[in-house]
Amino acid sequence: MSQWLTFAVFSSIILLTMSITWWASKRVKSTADFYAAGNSISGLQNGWAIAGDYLSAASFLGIAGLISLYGYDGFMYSVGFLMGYIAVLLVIAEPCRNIGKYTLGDILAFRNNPKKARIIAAISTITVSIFYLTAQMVGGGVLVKTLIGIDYEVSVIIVGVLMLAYVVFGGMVATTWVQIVKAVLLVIASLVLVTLVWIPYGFSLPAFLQGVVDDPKIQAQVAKLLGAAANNMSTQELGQRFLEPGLFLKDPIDQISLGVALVFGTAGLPHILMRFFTVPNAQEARKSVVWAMAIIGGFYVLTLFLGFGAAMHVGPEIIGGIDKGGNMAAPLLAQYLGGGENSLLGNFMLAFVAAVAFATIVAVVAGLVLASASAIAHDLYVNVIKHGDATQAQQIKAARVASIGVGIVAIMIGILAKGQNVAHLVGMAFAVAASGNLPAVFLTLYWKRCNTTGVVMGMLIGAGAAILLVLVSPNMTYPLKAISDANNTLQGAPALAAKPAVVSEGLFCEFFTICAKAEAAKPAAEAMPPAAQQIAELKDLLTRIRSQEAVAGINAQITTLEKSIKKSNEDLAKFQNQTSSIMGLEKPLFRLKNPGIISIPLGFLMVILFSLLTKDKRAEDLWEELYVRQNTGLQVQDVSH
Amino acid sequence: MLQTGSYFTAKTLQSQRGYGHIQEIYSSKNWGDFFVGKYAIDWEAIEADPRFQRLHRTKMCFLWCLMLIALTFYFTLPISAAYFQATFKIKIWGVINIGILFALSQFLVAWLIAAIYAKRAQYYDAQAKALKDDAHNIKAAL
Repeated sequence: MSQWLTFAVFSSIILLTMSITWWASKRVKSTADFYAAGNSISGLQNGWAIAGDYLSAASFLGIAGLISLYGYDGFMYSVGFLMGYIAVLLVIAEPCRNIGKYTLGDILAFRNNPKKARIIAAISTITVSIFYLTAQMVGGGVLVKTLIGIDYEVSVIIVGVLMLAYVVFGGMVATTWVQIVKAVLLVIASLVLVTLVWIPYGFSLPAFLQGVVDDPKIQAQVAKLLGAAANNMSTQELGQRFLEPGLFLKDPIDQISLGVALVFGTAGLPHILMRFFTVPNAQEARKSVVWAMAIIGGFYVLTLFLGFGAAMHVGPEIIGGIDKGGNMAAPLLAQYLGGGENSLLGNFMLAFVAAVAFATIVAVVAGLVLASASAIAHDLYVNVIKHGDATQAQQIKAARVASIGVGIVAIMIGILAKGQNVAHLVGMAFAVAASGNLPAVFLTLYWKRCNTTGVVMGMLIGAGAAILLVLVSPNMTYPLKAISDANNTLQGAPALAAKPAVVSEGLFCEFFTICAKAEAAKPAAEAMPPAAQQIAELKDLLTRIRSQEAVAGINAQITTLEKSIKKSNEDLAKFQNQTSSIMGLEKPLFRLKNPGIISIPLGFLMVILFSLLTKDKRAEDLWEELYVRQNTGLQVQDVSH
Repeated sequence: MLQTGSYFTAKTLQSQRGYGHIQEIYSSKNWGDFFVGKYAIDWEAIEADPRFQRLHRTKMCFLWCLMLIALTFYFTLPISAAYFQATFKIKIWGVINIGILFALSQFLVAWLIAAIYAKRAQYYDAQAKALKDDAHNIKAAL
């Protein structure tokens, strides 16, 4: 029954987006319509569309989930996502509107060698988009599988086909309007949920947070996260700890590195940059960022309530049991608020929130595919291969063929990435965008001496360093570690003796595992019994407990333990004869999960260094024109090469 | 009307309706006439024009100051969350601690910076428009 309801709600939302696409398809006649919605989007509309692009599965489902599992740290994530728009507003949006036409390549090709600039811009656009896209495809597949119960592969194909329908038939017009409608639905759904969560506390913030602190499920979660350190804390202290930093982000340098990538990465994301070409002029581009910041910021404040609400009503144990990253927190909260698992309204609300989340994924993927397709069709095919000599009809055809090609690749990657941990891919997309695209775009726009060699080398080395550092970082799977973790789960972990503090052997050692980094003294840890024994103890406990809530909590713990036993057995089989990661390493070489703090300065440095080492007459000659244009908007749109 | 369009028709259209309507001109088929105006612009002379130099100086100064304030304020959050946890834990209003208030204040500051910039940008818009309208008359001294 509930699956049919879910199916009906999903279908109506898909039907809505399809009618938008049908309407849009009649309006797509030229390349400007296909790539930039004919510059017909207003600042307010574009603000909603940008917000839609940004409130992807990662930030709507992901941040609400992180807050529900880890409290304060999850909220800190969202601040970085919003701050990224300050850089976009102040230094990127208006100049891009004044200089570019459809793509990142247009901006870089203005004064640099057009062919080289376009090739490198296309490579970078596709790389960033593929990382971002893989995370979204996998998220979408898992979501549909969990809710409707169809196979993961089929789900990924549905996401891919729908997204291709938007892009191929409706181009940027459909992609923008689907994004706007979806963003409005998302905000309405969240407002309803937040109102329902907040009413019992009379819309008072301190009263609501007091409720969070008093909640036994949250106190249990904090105790679990803190381990032995929680032994001497009162229940109130445990609850209060949920409102304090440090439960999720434990390494300070990694945390700052993530912040750097979020703040500088937004300005380099090709599917966001592309949105500034859909408005008629720089003033509207500015308005759209201001609106986007208002909508995104407001939404992130709402996620605070969604996340804490889900933690109180559903409970971190259950949320984490269904999905380790907490992605189901918001949909589960909707179900609870509608009346729970067996009520019609509850299942309707669950289906509605999930369908909006699904539409989010499809629309964001559509934007990413459009960005990659425009890089292939507009930059590579039309301007590099055909030397800018192609008719409107040929150009649109090229754009559609490229979209289908990228779409098929996206579906294949989605299927291949089944069961992979893709959470770090969004962070990686931000890191690559911040280390490769941002330095190149920024210095091309603002630094007279910047030239082709600088841009090409800066993008290659900056983006390359970001990717390479992630490949040797703790994000990858290290078989020896996985095997030892699995054995610890199955056979129990031995007690650990206390460790004295370690003194750092230098700044370099804080980043790479070649030498020792500074570490605080660690207290001794007690031995952990095997998982099977823990389950037996919990089952024994169940026979003595009557409280409904406590029983549900213990059952959830048992499910989690059973899952980890299953996973440990799978890991043992999978990694049986392996000793090193795909990069041939036994343990991570780079200490951080986020490479930004190293790769972003490196990207800037390389653009500067190679620009200073070489001379490029075209880049110098066109500087005055570029600089006057970007500041005044003279001859906007008339960027013909 | 655009049948006999030249740059000046385009320009009159712009000043009559504001430049949001440039689109109409571009979507017309008379590209040839329009290009006549393009080569009349002396970019170096505009760049050297005192009005442009003033716009450039005041704008850059303003932008970098705002950017610096925003970045400093933002990075204080992850840095203090890591190194000044004790301060973040101090309760101010019921269970609400400094950490939560500081994180919420980030939103206010971001919005404030956006508002200040949007307001100030109108002043630069006016200067840019004056230059734009006069662009075809600015020539290098012979």
